[in-house]
Amino acid sequence: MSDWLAMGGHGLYVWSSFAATLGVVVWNAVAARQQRLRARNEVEEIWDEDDGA
Amino acid sequence: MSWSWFHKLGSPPHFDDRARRWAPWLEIGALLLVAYGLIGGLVLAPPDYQQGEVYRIIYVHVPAAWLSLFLYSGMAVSAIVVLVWRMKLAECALVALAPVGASFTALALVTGMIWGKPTWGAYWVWDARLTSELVLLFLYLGVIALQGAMLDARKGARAAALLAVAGWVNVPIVHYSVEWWNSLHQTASIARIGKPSLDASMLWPLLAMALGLTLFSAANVLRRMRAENLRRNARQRWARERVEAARV
Repeated sequence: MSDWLAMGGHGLYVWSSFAATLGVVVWNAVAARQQRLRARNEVEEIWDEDDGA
Repeated sequence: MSWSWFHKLGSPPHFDDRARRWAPWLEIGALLLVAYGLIGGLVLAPPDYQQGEVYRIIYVHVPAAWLSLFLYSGMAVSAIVVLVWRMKLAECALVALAPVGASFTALALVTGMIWGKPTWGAYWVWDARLTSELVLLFLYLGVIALQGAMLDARKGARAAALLAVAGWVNVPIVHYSVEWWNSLHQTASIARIGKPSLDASMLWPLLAMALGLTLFSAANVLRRMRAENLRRNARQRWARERVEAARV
């Protein structure tokens, strides 16, 4: 197991690459979700304004 | 052949339904492929005979680089549809593809730098492949900036579309840079005539990672497009109905 983690002495390079990939995947998932929530809020605001007028 | 499916797909509420249904399936496919790719690439595949274990960065670097070009081409095609037919959904696609493509371009550059240090002895060299990929990142950032620079979202999308189409010329430059110029970067491992230069035990996990991350990106683009589609149709009754349905 620790042999595997060490990646022949290049563990830091290999694992940081995979961590960066995980970071990009998580960032995209979170950003898409926030975009969705923002869009919903915008729709609600516009309809509230129209209803109020 | 009937074209009604094409017109239907162009209808904003119909797209919203479709995208909502497709995205989770794409994500399940992505999860299965990436799980197989990680086990195959990090555990089962043997070390490289020259590079040893560090070559395993290929399992994230090549998919990221592939996506940087593939998503750019998708963005350029959407941009043409925006400029020629002024289709609203194509504007949503353009706006959704740019940040996803930019993030994978940055990932290709970062993982390449991490790989470069132990194998070439330097994080960065001003080599044709690296430089053209950096230009690709700037093109994505330019598209994002232009599209956000206008108060009118539709004008912003058209300005961004012009840059996206003009920048398309860089995609073949990135791809062929390793053949056209003397490059430190190795040439293609998969996409070449005849046999790929990778053994099957290394190749299949790599293809699975590439396809898995492509499916993830497709789902993510659909999700972002749904949000953008909703915003751009905020005054339509269907948009209000969806938002109210989601609130309960």
